[in-house]
Amino acid sequence: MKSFAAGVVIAGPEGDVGIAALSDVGGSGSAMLDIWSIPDEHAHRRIEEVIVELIASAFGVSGIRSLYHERFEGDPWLLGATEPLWRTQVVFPEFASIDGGYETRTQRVLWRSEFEATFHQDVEVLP
Amino acid sequence: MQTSRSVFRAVTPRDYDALYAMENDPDSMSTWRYKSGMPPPEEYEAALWRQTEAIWVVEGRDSGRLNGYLQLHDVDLRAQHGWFSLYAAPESRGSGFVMEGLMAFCEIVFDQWPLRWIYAHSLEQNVHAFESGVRRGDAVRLGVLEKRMIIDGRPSDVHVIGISRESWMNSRLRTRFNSLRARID
Repeated sequence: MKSFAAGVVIAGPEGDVGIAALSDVGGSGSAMLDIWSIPDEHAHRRIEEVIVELIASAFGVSGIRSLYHERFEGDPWLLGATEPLWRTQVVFPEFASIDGGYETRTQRVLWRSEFEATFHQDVEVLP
Repeated sequence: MQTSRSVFRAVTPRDYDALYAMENDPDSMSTWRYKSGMPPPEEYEAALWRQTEAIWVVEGRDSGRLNGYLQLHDVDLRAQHGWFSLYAAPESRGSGFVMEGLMAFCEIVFDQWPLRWIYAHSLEQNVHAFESGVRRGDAVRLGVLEKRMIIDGRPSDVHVIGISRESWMNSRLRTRFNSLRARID
């Protein structure tokens, strides 16, 4: 069972399009960022539009120095403008059985310092 | 399963005190598993078996002492993979007992479980134990989670090690391990 430290519902004028959640927040100074979208291109784009703000909030609410994100081959691309900053750390070839085939799982990291430098977001740590 | 110097057997409740002492050692307390600290003894059995399928101990043939243990956990039968952890008793670190146990572990797990891969997280200070296996191609370093843990106040990398059924079954190490065992049996 996974427990979450924080989460948000991502919504647009058309309604809710996805969920983002922080988990595995601990003394290591890092956390896991999970994002789920409804299976719709419009929803994916809506999430990409708010991703910088969402990640700034994630860093701000938790006071961490790095965020991890996992992606399976068939997952939609939701990280928008932050995509080039995510560095691949671990690749599990053919990790999970999905829809009759095996998909590779990738773990990537985003360093807070690089995020702040690129997006000039002065992340404010909330009390 | 036996080697010239070890007996590799399923854990029993009589072993729990020794396992607890191994995990409670200051050098191994900062593990991946107990992020919020070592559980008290009365809660240890439940914590030990959480998400765990099997545990084997590595016992010295002559001494009867527990030199370490290996654990199969977080098995996903649909995806056909699982995770393993291995722990060495403080006095056995660097002796090779537990890596010998890992060979027995691979032999049993890949024989009895329909798994394609087993994975382990290894902290920077322990990963040297896997290096020869990685060099030989028996194990694969799937990546490194940089500065993922704080150990003694300093960021530490976590290496992700994988062993595939295919590589173990075709391994020269496996052939040698089993031929040496056959002489004992």
